[in-house]
Amino acid sequence: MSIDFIQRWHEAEPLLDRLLELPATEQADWLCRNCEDATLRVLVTQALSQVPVAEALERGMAQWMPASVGYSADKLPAIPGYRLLRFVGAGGMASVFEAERELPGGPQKVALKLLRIDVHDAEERRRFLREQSILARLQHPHIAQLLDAGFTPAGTPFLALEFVAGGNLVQHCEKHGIDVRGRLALFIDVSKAVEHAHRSLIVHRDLKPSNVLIGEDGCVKLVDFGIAKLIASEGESAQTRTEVRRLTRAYAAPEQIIGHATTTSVDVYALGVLLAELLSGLQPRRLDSHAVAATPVFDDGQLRQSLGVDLYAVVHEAIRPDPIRRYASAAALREDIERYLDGKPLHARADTFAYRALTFTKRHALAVSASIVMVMLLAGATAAGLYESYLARHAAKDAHAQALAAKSEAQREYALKSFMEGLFDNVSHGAEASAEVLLAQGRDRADHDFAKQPALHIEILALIGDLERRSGHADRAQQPLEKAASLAQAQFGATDRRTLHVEYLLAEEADELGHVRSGRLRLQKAIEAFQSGSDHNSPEEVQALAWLAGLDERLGESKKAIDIGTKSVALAHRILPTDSDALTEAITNLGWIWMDAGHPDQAEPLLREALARKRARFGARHPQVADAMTLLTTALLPLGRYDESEMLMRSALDIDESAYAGPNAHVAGDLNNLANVLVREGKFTEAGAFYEKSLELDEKLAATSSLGEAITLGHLAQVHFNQGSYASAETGLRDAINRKQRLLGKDYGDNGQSSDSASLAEILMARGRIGEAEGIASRALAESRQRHRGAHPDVAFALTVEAEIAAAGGARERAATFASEAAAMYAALADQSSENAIRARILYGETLRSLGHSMEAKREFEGAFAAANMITPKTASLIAHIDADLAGTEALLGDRTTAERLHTEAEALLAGVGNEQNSERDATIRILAANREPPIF
Amino acid sequence: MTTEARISEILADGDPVAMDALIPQVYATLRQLAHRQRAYEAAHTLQTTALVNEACLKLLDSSDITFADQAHLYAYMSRTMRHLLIDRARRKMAQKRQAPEMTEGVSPSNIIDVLALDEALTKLAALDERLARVAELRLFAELSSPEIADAIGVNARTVERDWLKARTFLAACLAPEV
Repeated sequence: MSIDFIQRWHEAEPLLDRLLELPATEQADWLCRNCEDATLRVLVTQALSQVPVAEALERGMAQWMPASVGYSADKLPAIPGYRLLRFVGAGGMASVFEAERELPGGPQKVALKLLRIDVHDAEERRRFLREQSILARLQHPHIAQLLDAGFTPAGTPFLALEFVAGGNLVQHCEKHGIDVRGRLALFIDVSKAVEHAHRSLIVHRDLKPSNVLIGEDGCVKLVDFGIAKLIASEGESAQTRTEVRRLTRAYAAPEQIIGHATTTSVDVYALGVLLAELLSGLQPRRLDSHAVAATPVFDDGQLRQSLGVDLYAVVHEAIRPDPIRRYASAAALREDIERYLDGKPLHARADTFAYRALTFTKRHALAVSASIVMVMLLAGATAAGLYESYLARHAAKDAHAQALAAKSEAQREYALKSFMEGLFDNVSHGAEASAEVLLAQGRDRADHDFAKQPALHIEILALIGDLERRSGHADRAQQPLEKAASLAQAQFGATDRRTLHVEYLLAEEADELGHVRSGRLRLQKAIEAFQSGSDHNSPEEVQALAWLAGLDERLGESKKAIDIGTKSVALAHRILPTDSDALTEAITNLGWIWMDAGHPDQAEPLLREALARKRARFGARHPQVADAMTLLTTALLPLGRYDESEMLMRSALDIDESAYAGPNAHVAGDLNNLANVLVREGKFTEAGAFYEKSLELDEKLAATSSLGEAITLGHLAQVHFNQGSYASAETGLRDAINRKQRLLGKDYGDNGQSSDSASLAEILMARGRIGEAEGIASRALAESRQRHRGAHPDVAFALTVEAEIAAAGGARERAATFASEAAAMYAALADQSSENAIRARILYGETLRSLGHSMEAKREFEGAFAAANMITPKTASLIAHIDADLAGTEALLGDRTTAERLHTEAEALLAGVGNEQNSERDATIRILAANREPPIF
Repeated sequence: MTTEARISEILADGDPVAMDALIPQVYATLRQLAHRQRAYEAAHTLQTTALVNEACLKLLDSSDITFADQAHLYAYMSRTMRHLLIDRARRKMAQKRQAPEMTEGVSPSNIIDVLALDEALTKLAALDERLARVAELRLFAELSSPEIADAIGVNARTVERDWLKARTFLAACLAPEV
């Protein structure tokens, strides 16, 4: 690569001039838009992606020098007000001296750090001082206090910290042979110090043994808090982040290494590595330049062996590559250790998150972490809440009640507004406040500032929990929501709408975490308790009922779900104003349930209404509108309305692309859905390209492989199957299945497992491995039947595949039985027009004809033909397929004229299919050829 | 002053031990020069060159080298540092070849191979002399952007961009071939 790059340097250089001005996340997009030459694009991208080498280059001389270079006893730098005693050592960021600070009451021993940065700019100097004044306020018994900071006469910034005499935590424990409980006790102090800092919005960013010292009194002292942040200058582009290049890679979280926004979870990660090292004596691997960011720093087996099951689980939970799945906070990590010490069961648990990033049920989750988006969300959420209560107020009947409500509403509005402003004021000095930190701080302030105003306290806790969930951290939502729930229960009682609202939020959270069953039970109880009171007819009841219905559907109880969902919509129509958000959500929800239950015809008008309502409420180009479009598309597809689906998905993609900056799950999902439409339309090549784009986004989005990626890989395998590339279809689908298995664990069952198995069986059959296919298909059928009582699209599909396999194995009777059941099930679902329903019908026709029942076969083919012609735009290869089958059947029945006409029609259609690989076209050609063989013609 | 004197003599002599000892000294000298110069600059802008020359002569204790300005001095020092490092790297390699079993632990792989870096810098110099100079001053003299800017007479922003470009070039050359 280097030779090619050197040869094209003069072409690459002008591109680099522009690229290096951009944040790393925008470089790929810019390059795609501004460089048409693919080879050059690849060369430039590769050159820019050599992060470890670039980091090493940034380290400069330090890497080739012995550590203590630069200061010998006779050449200690002079700093007014300090007397430097000796050079202690040098790290990546600073040289450290033992020094005495000259104070009126006598000298104070300090650790003086000369930072390895040159602060030349006045604004930069101000920022340094501002940051250090924040750090100076950080006071905790286990944090070395920042005492002073300033600039040497030469302009080098320095920090004076409380001097800690002892060695580091790990060495200390080794040296004194401290046992596991003793080590854990010390570690708990470390965690508490980190928790304290997190509450003040300060992230350490560079936790490692050399920053965790033990004082002469045997107590832990953390040093260098926030210093990594302090030395990363604001104006630097992501590429040159001082922070990144000076990190100690063995302790740095993957998202930190790839330069993502730093949140408190990087400290949780580092704590996990530290804990493992402290307990096992194993050294984390220093990742070399070849390693990807998410490479584990420990050998998993070795770690498990030396830590034992429980402590291994704790460490494992802390050092997950994906920050979303780590312990939600340092406190959560510490609490688990305390539980361990108390012999209680741990919260760290096996991989059971139902992490369904791209499934439709999680349509509200926003994968965002930038504080600005958070501000918008928070403002929006409150505004929406206020809007609802405004509506409720107007619904109040007598004027006095209205006036009272208005007054308390105004007070509430004011309190919430000032709370939020306060929250953001604290971080508006330029600190990069992650959503998580903001919310953590909000939680603290809620407890603190609103202790005497329980109603607001509950509301804010609920809001924070809800925002945690919406920003993709359902796990972190639990604590504030549970607290809000118990406060509401105590304060308002179970029959109050505010209590019900919190329970509803908890149910949403449970759903997202995959705790469908327990979530449903709890919500149902809350609704029953609410209904036993007198406070009926509130938007909260509508929401709760709608969600309960959704949970029923997810548990496979479609009948119940439709029943409750219909009730929630009826209630909403009765009691809510026509432009209420809760009404829109209830309609959306019922639409989704009908669709998921396999009744797209019922779903379509509801989802269309939801789309119209959202357009009216949010404007035409709001992400919520894009979400509604996506949902409507899922109902239109089985109805064969491909042209409208394609149009909707292209609009949704367009909206989301302009609404979200940088790679995000929404755009990835849209790409995927658009590709799904294109597959149905037979545009396999274009579909494949969109899937690939979606995969690229997924890779950028997550440090580890995500569920979204697995889903897309599965779709891509389907494209290969349709194109007749069976071997790569098999490889791709197996990869997708393995990934889902790994990511979802036992929750895979709720997320399309049987359908994936049936698809795999289909592919294996196409590859001639009938025996293998049979086993998988019958398991898929059994699984889907077990999940869904009665008719369901998943069961029907599994039946179709069973029929195909039986037919391929020559078991005609058996094939006909399965195919007939599949066709009947689609009919029961009122689904005649989805592609799968049509294919089941064709298959049934084909099995009937093979048994000699030509008349019955003809009826099926004609039904399929009519349904296929409802699809818009027409799918030529599918209609040709049916034509060919009909031609053969007519010939058998003796109507040669019709047979000839159909034959010609099929050929004409096939000619229009184009040159793309298409296995259905090839199959149809074979049917047509077979029709020609004697004795038929 | 004797220990850090006579850079030119030691270079000419080629005594490995003395040369290795020289590395930290040159490094320290450079750091001090940089600090010193900034302090002087703040007070007496006009006399900079003269003062730096004086300081340098004192540090080098060498009468046969004179520098027209600090730019030349920095260039000389960074070149010296580069050569010292290359020389040390070559000697280490030769030792390994002679007695592979004696090798003291593999050097951490996140340390840049000085020889490869030297080669890449030479290639860069052939394409763009200024980028290579910026990189050399940054890597071997550890000068900050404003210092490099002063030394080569462009503004600090340009230096910053030059360095990023040079770094990208070098990273591409040094990246492990996949």
